[in-house]
Order: sequence, then structure tokens, then C-alpha cells
Amino acid sequence: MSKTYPNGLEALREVSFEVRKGEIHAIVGENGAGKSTLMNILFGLIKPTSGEILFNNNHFSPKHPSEAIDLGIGMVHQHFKLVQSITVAENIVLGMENRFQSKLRRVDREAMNESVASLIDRLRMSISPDDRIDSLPISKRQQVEILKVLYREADFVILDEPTAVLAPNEVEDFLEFVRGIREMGKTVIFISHRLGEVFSLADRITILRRGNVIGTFDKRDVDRESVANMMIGTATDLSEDPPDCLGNESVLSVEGISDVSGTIRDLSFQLREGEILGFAGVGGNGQEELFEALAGSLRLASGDIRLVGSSISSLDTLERRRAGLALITDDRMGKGLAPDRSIVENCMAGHHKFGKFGKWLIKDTDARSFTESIVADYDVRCGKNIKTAVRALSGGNMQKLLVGREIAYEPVVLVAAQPTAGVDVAARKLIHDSFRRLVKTGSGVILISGDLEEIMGLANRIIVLYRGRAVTEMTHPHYDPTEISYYMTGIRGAQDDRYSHS
Amino acid sequence: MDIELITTLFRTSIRMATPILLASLGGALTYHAGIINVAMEGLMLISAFFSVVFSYLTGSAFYGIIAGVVASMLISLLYSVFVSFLKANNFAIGFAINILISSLTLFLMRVMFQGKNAFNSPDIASIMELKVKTGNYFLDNYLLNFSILTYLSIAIAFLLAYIIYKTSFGLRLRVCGEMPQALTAAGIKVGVIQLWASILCGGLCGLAGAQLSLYNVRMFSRDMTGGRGFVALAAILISGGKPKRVLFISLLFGLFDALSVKLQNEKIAPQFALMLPYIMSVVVLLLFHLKTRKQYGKA
Repeated sequence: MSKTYPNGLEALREVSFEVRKGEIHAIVGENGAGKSTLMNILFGLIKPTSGEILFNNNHFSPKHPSEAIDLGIGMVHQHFKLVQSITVAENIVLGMENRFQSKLRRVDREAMNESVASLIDRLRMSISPDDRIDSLPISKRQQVEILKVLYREADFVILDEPTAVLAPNEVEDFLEFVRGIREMGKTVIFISHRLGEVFSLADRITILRRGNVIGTFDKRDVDRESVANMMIGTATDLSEDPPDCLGNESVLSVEGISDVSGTIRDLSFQLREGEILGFAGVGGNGQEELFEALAGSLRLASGDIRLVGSSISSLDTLERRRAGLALITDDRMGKGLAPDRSIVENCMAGHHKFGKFGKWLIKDTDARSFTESIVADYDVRCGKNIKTAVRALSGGNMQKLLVGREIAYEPVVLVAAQPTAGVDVAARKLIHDSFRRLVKTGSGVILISGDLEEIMGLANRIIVLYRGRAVTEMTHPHYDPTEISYYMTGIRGAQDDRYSHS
Repeated sequence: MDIELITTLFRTSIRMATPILLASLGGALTYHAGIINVAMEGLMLISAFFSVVFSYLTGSAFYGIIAGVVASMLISLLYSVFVSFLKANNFAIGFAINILISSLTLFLMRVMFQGKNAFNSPDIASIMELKVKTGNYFLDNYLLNFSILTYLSIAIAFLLAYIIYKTSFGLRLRVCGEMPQALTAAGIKVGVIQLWASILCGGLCGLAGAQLSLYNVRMFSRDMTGGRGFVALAAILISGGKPKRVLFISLLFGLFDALSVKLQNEKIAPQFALMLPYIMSVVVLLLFHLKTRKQYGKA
């Protein structure tokens, strides 16, 4: 199976694997390894570029989820598709509820609830069919999603990162529940990058890395360490070296921050001038929250953030920018750029608040020359037409534009989240070089990235995040990718996490 | 205040409330299906026109009502095809339909009846009333002797409450508005549900238009709906599309209408009296908005 997206991204490269009837088959890999693409192909949401699927020895190429559902394949998506204002039973039965209609077309609630209750009983769950979804906690909502699949008598259940939304204390119950599904004789595909869960649950494990299948293993034949190695890839190319211009003064100091939801917990670090500080971790371990906390869009429960000595905790994003912060978000289409506006407008956005183009009215010539300098410096390929809508640019060019705009603030501290996600090698190099130039001027860079190679080649220091905590810190040149991968997957340094969630 | 005045006021309120109630019940269906129907104004107007035409031609109010309902349903079908299947913006299409019908009815009236801005004739048959004289003043004036559509509309309110909250169609309808992805995932076509809701809405707006031109005034005049489609929309938004609440809110708007009619005969500037129902709509909308916001604040 191969999949190349229209924008040239090779999500899967000739991957092959097989799933046996009645097993729990885990698929592990980092973010962007191709897990979701693979599952969406199986479920008929995406068409593969090449390759074929055999389901029960029959050729199978679903064009629409309904074809997969008809064959007994069910998928529980990471983002729920539940209707908030109706009951659990109604959500589960939706689409088949007309079976319970009386002659007066009244839906017989009792019969409907009973049929759902019998399924709930068989699974030994504690949900009432009469509860409304909006009154249920996330963990129960997820069970409702799974019930939806099982109610349709699916024999092949795909669970896409089901534990990502669960609190640590809910995970064990959930795993028990999945074992129950296997006991019903069903086949389960379990996608995760938390190796602890994978090893407690799976019969076999398939490892994906950057669109390739590294292999499928029986759980008894491998241990966590070797799976972590294969998943993250310890044969990292370390041809790049971090810049060498560390100063002594601290430009940013973060003191014991925790957010309201408890996703990041008691995080402290210092960033010195001329330093690039990398945050490594598998996605969903607090990286986004860290970015938002620094950007000022996340409410902190405790802790303080200081920029060159003065607290910025109570400032909003604009005020933080005025204080000398620049931000490269990981969501360039949604938050970083306005895709339907022109390149000029996107370059000006934000800068116009600093009076760069005139106090009241925007001076067109100034805006234009400002944009042209960014487009030239960052090699944004737009066919010389800066009035083009940003949407028409390729992902790499969009990203270069975004990076260029943010560095043009000449920030004291630049916070960059996944700055090279989905961009080609040349753009990646250009972006990295621009970070190096920036720190030479004495600024500091926070680099939050899921790409370990990027962090090791660029950062002077690495902090590993696991479940919202800094579990370890390493300093260049004492980087050990194997060690880092253990921390990233929770094999090391996470002994206390089950009890710390309150 | 004497009893006669209260009686007149009450009867006028009910008369005025009926078209608003019918239209807002129809709009409640599309509201649940996820469409804010701004075309109700036009739907009522086209029905008001064809009701008058066919009532005049056949001499039967029944055929008039049927013609109005059919015309309104056809326009509603058109609306739904654009909104649900071609994915056009429902506001743009709705307003386009309103403007189209405003001009179309005027044009047709001038061509067919050489009228200027209104058409009336003694040959237009009026909608029947439930004519019963019991001799009891209260029964005769407060319960009986209203347009048959008034009784029908109240029955429809309860019927819709049953359909929306008890039947399979109602469940799908509500899911359609709240989370269409869930419906698609369950293998049901969102567009089909919306189409049915729109057609039913067209039928009810058709009844509303007929009540307006064959009972309330018994004539057709240019733009005679006078914004009632939007008053109905306000009623839907305030009531959250719940049929029994719609019933209550419509009665309230009917009362404002009746007051406005009454006040025009008093020493108040008639222009101001005419404004009253609309001012009250805005006030009621505002009050309910503040109330919901308070609830959200608590949550």
C-alpha cells in the first residue's frame, strides 16, 4: 500500500502488514508516521495511490465508509461524532432507530434502551442508555462511540489513539474494556504511541516510521526498548550541529507553570540569550499547551513566565508580542496565516500594529517593500506576485512566509512549534538557518518539535515532555537518541504519573 | 375596561397569531434540520396570492388554500434544492426568493386583474369559521367561531411536538441540525431530511399565507405579509423551535398585532401604532437573549 498526497507528501511507502482474526493488533509510530492515513484507507475515507487490501481473502477497496461498515469494519475516530443533546441509546441506535417504531411512528424508547442495555451488560460497562451525552465525561463518551460500532455488529474494530483523550486513571479500565471486545471474538486494531499500553494489551505490534513498516512482531519477541528504538529511529543523522553563541543572561524564565486542565504540570525552565532550547516528545504530551501558555492563550493555574526579568503572565498575546515575543504556530493554515488573503496582507498582519506602515493609514508602498523583502529573504515562491492568495502557495512556501514574518519582529524570544512539519528538505534547511541567524543576534528560541532529528541538530539543550512534565534534560553534545526515545515513550522517568493526576 | 374591548382584543390577537403560528411551526422544522429559513416571508406571500386567485376563480376557499399550499411547497422545494443539495448560502437564497416573490406577485396581480397595488372582490371566498352559537358569551367568543385554520394550527403544534420529539424522523431531524456528521456516519443522507423539512415548512407557510389573505383581510395587497415571516423567525429563535413554546410566543406576537390595530383608532399616531408589533419583537428577542446569556454564564 502506498499513498502520496496531492501536495507531494509521501505518507505511506509500500507498506504491507497483516492482521489475524481475533487478535489485538497494535500499530505504533510517531505523529506523521502514517498510522492515520493507513486506517483511513482501510475505512474508505482515503483512496490509496497504489496497493491492495484483502479482507477475509476477498479483494476490498472501499470507496465510502458505508462499504466498510457493510463488511463489518468499524472505526472509532479520535474526534467523536456524538450528538450532545440526545441520549446514549439514541446516539448508538441512530440510523436504525426506525426498527423500534410503533404503528403511530412513535419510537419505542423502552425497547430501544433495552437492546442497548443488553449490549452494555454484555460488555460489563456502567453507562445508562438514558443519559444524555453532554452529561457524560470524556471516557464514557468514548465508550459510547465504541458501542456505536459494536451495536452494528462490527467484527473488525479500529481504535484510533483511543487513550489520547483519557486521564491516566481511566486508561486501565479502558484497556480492560478492549480485552472484553477481543473476548467477544472480534479483531481489534489499536493505534497508539504509548508503549506501556501497547504492551499491556496487544498480541502483535506493527511499527511504522515515516511511512514505512519497520516490521510486525509478536509481543513476546520484542521488548519496549527495542520497539521504541524502531519507532523513533535511533540511527539519526547528526550532520547538523547546534549554533554556538550561548550568552549568560536569561531571556525567558518559566517558573513552575501548570494549566487549568492539568495537561502541563509544574514546568520550569530557563532560556539564555543565543540559545535554542528544544522540547521533544510524542504528540499530545503537553507541547501544544506549552506553546499556548507562552503565547498567552492558555489560562495558567499557577506559575509565572518572565521575559527578560519582567513577568508576562498577565499579558495577552499582543502585549506579549510588544514585549518581544514572536510565535510560529504549528497550525499555519488555521492560526498562522489567513489562507484566503494575499501574501501582502499576511505579511503585514500583526506588524501593522507596530506602526510600521504609518500611524493611521497603511502606506501601500511600505507594506509592499516590507513584503518583498520577506519574500526574497525566505525564498517564498509565488511567481513574483505578492497579491496572490496564500492558499495558492505550497505548504513549504507558506511555512517560509510564516517564519519570515515572525522573525521580522526581531524578537527577543521566538517560540516555534513544529516549524518544519510537512515541508521539503530545502525549506527545512532555510528555516533552520534563519533560526541560527536569529540566535547569533542574542535572541533565544524555544523549539517545540516532534522531529527528534531536527531538535538534536539545532538545539543546545533538550527537555523531554511526557504527560505534561519535563521528564529529563540533556545538553549538547551529550545527546543519546536511544535514551531520549525511552523518555518520550514513558519507559523511563514516568513512574509517578499514574498518581499525580488530581 | 369593558368586556367588549377585551373580547375584541382577544379575538383579534388569535386572528393575527394564527398565520405567525403556522409559519413559525413550519420554520421550526427547518430550524431543527439546521436551516434558518429566511424565505418564510416569500412563502407566505406566494400562498397569500394564489389563495386569493383560486378562491376568486373557483369560489371555494378550500381550493384557494390548496393552491396556496401547493405554490408555497414548490417554492420551498426550490429553496431546499439550492440550500441542501447545491450548498448555497441559505440567507442569500432566502432573500433572493423573498425579493423574487414580492415582484412576481405584484406583476401577476397587475397582469391578471388590472389592479394597482391591491386586489379585492366580493367573489373571493373567505375561510370558514367554526360557526356555533351556544348562547354562552364566553364559549361563543373565546373558544368557538374562529377560522378553522386556527384550530388546525393548534392541533399541528401538538402534532409537531410529537413528531419532533417522539418519532424516528424527529430524531433524525434534530441530529441533522445539531451534528450532521453523525447522521452521515450512520448512513443517512442529510440532504433528504432537510428536503422533507423544507417541504413541510412550505406547506405550513402556505396555510399561513392563506389565513392571511382569505380570512384576516380577504384581499391581496402588495407585500401584504409585512414582515410576518421574520416575526415568525423571531418566534422560532426565541422558542428554540419547540412547538409548544412557539404556540405561546405566537400568541404573544398576535396580541401585539391586535394592540397595534386597536391603537390605530386611538389618539396615537398611527405610524407609531403600526410599529408596535415590530418593536415588541425586538424587545422580546432581546429579553430572551439576555436570559439565555445568563444561563450560559452560570453553566
